[in-house]
Amino acid sequence: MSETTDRAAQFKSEIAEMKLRTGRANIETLLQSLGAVLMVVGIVIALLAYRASLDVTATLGSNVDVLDSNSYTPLAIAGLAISVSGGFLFLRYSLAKFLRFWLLRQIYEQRVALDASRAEAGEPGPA
Amino acid sequence: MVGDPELALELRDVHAAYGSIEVLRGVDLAVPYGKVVALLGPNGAGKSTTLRVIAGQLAVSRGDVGVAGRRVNGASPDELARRGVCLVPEGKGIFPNLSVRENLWMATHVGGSLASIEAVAYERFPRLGERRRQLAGTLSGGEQQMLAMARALSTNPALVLLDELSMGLAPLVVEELYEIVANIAETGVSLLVVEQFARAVLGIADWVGIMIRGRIQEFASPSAVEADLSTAYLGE
Repeated sequence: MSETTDRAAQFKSEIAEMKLRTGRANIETLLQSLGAVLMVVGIVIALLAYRASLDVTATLGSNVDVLDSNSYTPLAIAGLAISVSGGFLFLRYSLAKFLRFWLLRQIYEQRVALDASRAEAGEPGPA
Repeated sequence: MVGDPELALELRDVHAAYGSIEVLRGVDLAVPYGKVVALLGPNGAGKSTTLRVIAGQLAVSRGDVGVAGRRVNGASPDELARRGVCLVPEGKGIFPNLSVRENLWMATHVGGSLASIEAVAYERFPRLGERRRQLAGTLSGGEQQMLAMARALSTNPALVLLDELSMGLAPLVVEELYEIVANIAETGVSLLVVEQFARAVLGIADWVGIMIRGRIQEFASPSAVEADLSTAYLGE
């Protein structure tokens, strides 16, 4: 009996010491959504940079060099980088979700196939 | 909220889903220390999903899972296994191309030596000792189940989750296995046993829950549940 109590006490203390990373599934969903948002935001930034670069015009006496439009290039590249990063995030978490379900399906189908071959071989089923 | 220190396992209003399909719809369950609780129900009721949620393999969408008085929602399966929560999955989960000894070797990840794990396993299951060099896939169904249990028990678990122990086994073998389960419970290990076919487990369970469509419809002593089983399964 004391061995039983000792194991229970040890179990309680081990579980109490456990460091929990709670809400992992929520974080995955959040990161997947963030990826989708970043994809769109990145493209919008690139388009805005392009649009703004069109307004840079060199007129007589305006003292604006046409090469100033080049200053929008890094912004557009940053937008594309954000979009690519967002796409990576989205793909990573979408694939993880898909593969998890695929794996569950494989396990289920294998079990059904095993039961069927057992039944064919005439092995006793659950009674 | 969970947190009863007298319970090895506690589920409160647990919901879980596979994608958009909700499988558990508010499960309440309690397993006291050193007791055997059987979870019965027809195919697709959510019994195995309940075990996956407890073992940390499937996230809870709502509700609380409590182990040893602590809320453990979001804990990883390996962390729970290291602390003493052990799942013996349906279909045994052994490696058929490895020998009995090599399968037991897999349990050394929790820190024990192979020799100590083998000693514990062969003491409880002498038949495995005789077949230690045999490939696990060539063992009989009952022996394979013994190997799965031996591997689980050699990690000194405090809470064992057994999924469909009787699956594919002859009634006599099932009886023998449940005798072993009863002996394990006597050593203070808490057990949650999931079964689709009820009779075998009623003899050793302290409490029985009947699960239907993702909810526990009845939770009572085995004698009280036995009379209602056909109604529960057939919905008559």
